[in-house]
Amino acid sequence: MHDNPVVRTNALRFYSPLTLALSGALVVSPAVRAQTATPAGTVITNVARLNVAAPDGSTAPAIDSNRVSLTLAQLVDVAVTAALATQPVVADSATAVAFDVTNTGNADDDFALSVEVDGARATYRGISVGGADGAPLATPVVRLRAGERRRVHVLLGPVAAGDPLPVRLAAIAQSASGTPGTVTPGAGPNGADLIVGSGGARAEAVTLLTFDAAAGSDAAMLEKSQSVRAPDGSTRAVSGAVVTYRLVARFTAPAVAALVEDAVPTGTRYVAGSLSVDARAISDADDDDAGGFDGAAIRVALGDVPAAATRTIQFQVIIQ
Amino acid sequence: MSRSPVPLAAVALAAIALPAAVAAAPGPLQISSRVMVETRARAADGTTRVALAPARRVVPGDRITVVLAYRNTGTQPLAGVTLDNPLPRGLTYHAPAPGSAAPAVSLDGRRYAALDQLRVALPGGGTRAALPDDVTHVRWRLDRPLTAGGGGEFAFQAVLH
Repeated sequence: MHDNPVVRTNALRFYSPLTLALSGALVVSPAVRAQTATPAGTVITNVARLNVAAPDGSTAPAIDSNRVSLTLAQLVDVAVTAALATQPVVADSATAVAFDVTNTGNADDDFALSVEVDGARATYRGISVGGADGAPLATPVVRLRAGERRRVHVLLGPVAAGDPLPVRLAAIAQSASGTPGTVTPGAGPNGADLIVGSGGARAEAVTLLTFDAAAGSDAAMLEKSQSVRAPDGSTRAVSGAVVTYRLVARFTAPAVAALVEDAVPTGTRYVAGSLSVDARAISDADDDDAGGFDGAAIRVALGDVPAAATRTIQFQVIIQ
Repeated sequence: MSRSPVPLAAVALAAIALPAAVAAAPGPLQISSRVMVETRARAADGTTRVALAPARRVVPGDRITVVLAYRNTGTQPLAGVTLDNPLPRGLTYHAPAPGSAAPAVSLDGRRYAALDQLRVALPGGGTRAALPDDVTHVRWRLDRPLTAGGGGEFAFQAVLH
């Protein structure tokens, strides 16, 4: 194996200097995370109990209180965040601008999306929910479950260079919006009332596109190094030797949903539990933390990296 | 220390395995619960009055106060009285209500203690201090027999999530 370590962000690909005979990849992927709120229309019933000890020490059956029931109203609200506050772009090339739209209410809803950008500087091509390379939606509406967050991309044609260019994405809930606290009695599920949340069920966010001559040439770089420790204490790469790999991802510009993947080389076995990011352990399992080992490669989601930053990933293998 | 000789009708309830619906029938011991929300009213002098009103319309994030009222309507004192409130799904314990004694709390419905005495086991081994979010049950124990005609109230705050 003599692949170069590979770095990829925002669909651009770079190659770092060949240092080792192993590959690593830094790629972009959509991020989805759901929160849990009790669904609208849920009836919450509270019952308290009284217990009295019998004279022989046994416990008599509990005496239940009356039942008090609350029907949870439907809260309608939405949040929009820009993946990056400023995004360096290459002049005269097509650009995708990432935003996250979150249904912060407690029921499924449709959210109408709209984009504001100076048409003289950039052609608006649509909104994709299928990544930066996805097709634009025929109708700019996304359906989100309660608590669901969806990454969307605003697709722009070639962007003319000049002053920083704001790109604004707005989302409006379709079931209700307007003055916070507005109530529509009985309009929610299970006959629950529907209430416009504190954000007015509408939200927007802005990303500023900046034009940097260096953008796209060295936005991110991955450097890989290794150290070997053999059973005899030497650094010879013999059977049974433990190899510690160190992947340093250097971001010279903001990156969206950066992901590092690195296959464990043939002839070696991954050391269970050895993965870490910036010296914090990451479990091997495919769980809530930022990464894992799938049997063939380690994967670490670094997320949106807002500005020039460095992340260090480490893991170990044993030479067989 | 004096103890009531026979806890009267409470024992009668114990002897007969009554259906739950009948168990709630009025006996010498009565308990009622009500759920209140904080309402804020701006007074003419510019101050804000906080009052409790029955909860009608609630959304996730609202804080409510659960008030438990108990009374011994019999003619004999009753010893060993406890009030239990398992937290229903959708409610997270917050704190004792102002003016109420703090309840003992439980993370499993079996072991009760003050919140700062409880710890939560972590999946990877080790433990951490219990947080209000971890509480599944609250309980108050009357440390003295409840006199005939006596009663009182306990209350706790909870958050809808």
